[in-house]
Amino acid sequence: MSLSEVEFAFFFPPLLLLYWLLPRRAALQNALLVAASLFFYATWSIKLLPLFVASTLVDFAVLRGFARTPAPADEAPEAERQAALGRRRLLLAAGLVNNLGALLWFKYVGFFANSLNEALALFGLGPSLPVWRFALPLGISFYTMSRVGVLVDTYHGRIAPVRSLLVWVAFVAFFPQLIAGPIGRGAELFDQYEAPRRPDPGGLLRGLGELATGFALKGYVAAQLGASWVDPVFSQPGFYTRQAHWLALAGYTAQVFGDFAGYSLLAIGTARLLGLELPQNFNVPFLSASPPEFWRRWHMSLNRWLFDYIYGPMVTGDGFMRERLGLGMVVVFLISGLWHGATWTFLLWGLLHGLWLLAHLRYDDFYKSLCRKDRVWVRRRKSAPYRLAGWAVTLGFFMVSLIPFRAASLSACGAFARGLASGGDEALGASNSGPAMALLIVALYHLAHLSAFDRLRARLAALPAPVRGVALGLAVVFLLIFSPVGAGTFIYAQF
Amino acid sequence: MNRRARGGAGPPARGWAHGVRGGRAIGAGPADEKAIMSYADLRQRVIDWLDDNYHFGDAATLIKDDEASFLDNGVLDSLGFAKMRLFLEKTYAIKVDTSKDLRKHFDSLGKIVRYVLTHKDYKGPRS
Repeated sequence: MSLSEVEFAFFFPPLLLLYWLLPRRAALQNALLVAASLFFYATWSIKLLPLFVASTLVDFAVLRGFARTPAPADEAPEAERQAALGRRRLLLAAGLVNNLGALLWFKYVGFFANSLNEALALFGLGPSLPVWRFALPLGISFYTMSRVGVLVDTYHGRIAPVRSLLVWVAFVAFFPQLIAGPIGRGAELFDQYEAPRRPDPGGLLRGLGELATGFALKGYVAAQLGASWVDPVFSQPGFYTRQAHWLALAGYTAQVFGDFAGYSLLAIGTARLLGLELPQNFNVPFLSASPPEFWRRWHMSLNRWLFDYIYGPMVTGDGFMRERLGLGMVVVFLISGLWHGATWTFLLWGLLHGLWLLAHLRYDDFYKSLCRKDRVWVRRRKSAPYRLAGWAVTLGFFMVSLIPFRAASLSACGAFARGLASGGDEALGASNSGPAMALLIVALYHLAHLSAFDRLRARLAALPAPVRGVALGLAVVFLLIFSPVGAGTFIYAQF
Repeated sequence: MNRRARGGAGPPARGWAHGVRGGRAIGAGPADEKAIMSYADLRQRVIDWLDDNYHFGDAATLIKDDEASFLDNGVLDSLGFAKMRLFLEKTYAIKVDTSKDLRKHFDSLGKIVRYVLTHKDYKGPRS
């Protein structure tokens, strides 16, 4: 079951009703969320549930260990300080092994063994290593990030060690964000789980709006584009015409956005109906006019995590990478590529984006040198033509970079790229207007967020609640009628 | 001596500072001439750094108040926080505590200046 499947429509409403009928006590509300979340997990894989629960309990033991071994005061005797710091380091190591070890084992061991075998075979060496393939535990890439973030923050004393097991399990297993985030932070969410939640009509209406928008993006946009334009061309790269390749690429760009931004909105809206606020994950990324701006707007919770726990410490620490801001971007995006999937195509995608950011950093340094000489360059940078050119390059590069993100192999990637230049003879079959409509929805969704429409958005938001409710209802009816039932895949659930 | 910093105090490093606004100097020690001068001077140097690297003369306009959030007002992005940290460490010979959440602790002019001024290793700028 996922938030966009029919089963969820039977699972969630009774849960929501029961949740708000319960006495307003945090422990009771958390207990219900934990039970619902474990049931949600079990619908994907009951076999892996014990592993998920066990690793969650190990993390809780580590966090309680931090509580029992507080960071030593500066004025404490040196020997005592060192002993306490040593114990805390050991606890952190145990927590990291528990989380990263599982991620490595389930997601990457097969990839590394296979790559090593291929490298050995290249030199005529053997014997080859056994290649194990495991079923990937649900949402492991996402919840590992959340947990590691809490462990590191607690180790550094940025947050107090979580005290309640119920709060911890509710945070880790919370079903709306279990499959695909947004990646939660203890600093932002523990307080919410510790306090009793009360229904708020404004929040409920906003949550319903997010559910409707999320479903439109996930259930309609992503499904329409995937089935009609993207899947046929990417499954036979080079077979279709050049125009079909470009349509598939544009379609896939909108599909990935619809799939993931839509699911994120479903998660955020579901959480809001339960009185919890999850972090924003997408902020109209296709309006970005530069690569750094794009990554501040796309999959925000992941990129913030990568910056706070990897990039920042790496380029400001004392090691070799200190002050190597550009190289740091390449390293982080290689990690990001590998995080998305243990394949060479994802690594290539990460490398492309790392190099893209590195090139932009160098260009930015050069442009700033012009700005220091003459303020006319500052004005030029703020001008509409400059931003328009920046937007076109940013979006164009992102689209092209999605070829390895979607292609099944490096050779398929090359075939698709060649198809963009000189495709085959087969035209895409005549389809309904669904994919074009889906593309238009993504464009309008972004355009509506331009500052030129601020007043219009404010007016719509000020409409009476019943009017907005009816509009939402009509939108849902439209989606239920026109969404392709059972079509499409959930791209980010694979990660 | 009043506790408000004098706006525009301190020599601008590259002559950016046109119309630097005064801000609340919460961190300056009471009745301590040296501390107040240091706050104003350091405040100006941070503004100059922001101008030199990001805003080219507009930093003081963007910083409406010493406690206004850099992130919310578009003064710094994530990369900017890392660069700011490197600048402070290099210029003032201090080591920023790795446990600090940069976004939280460096998110305003006042926070940055107070952090440096109260740092145990701070002895003024490197010559």
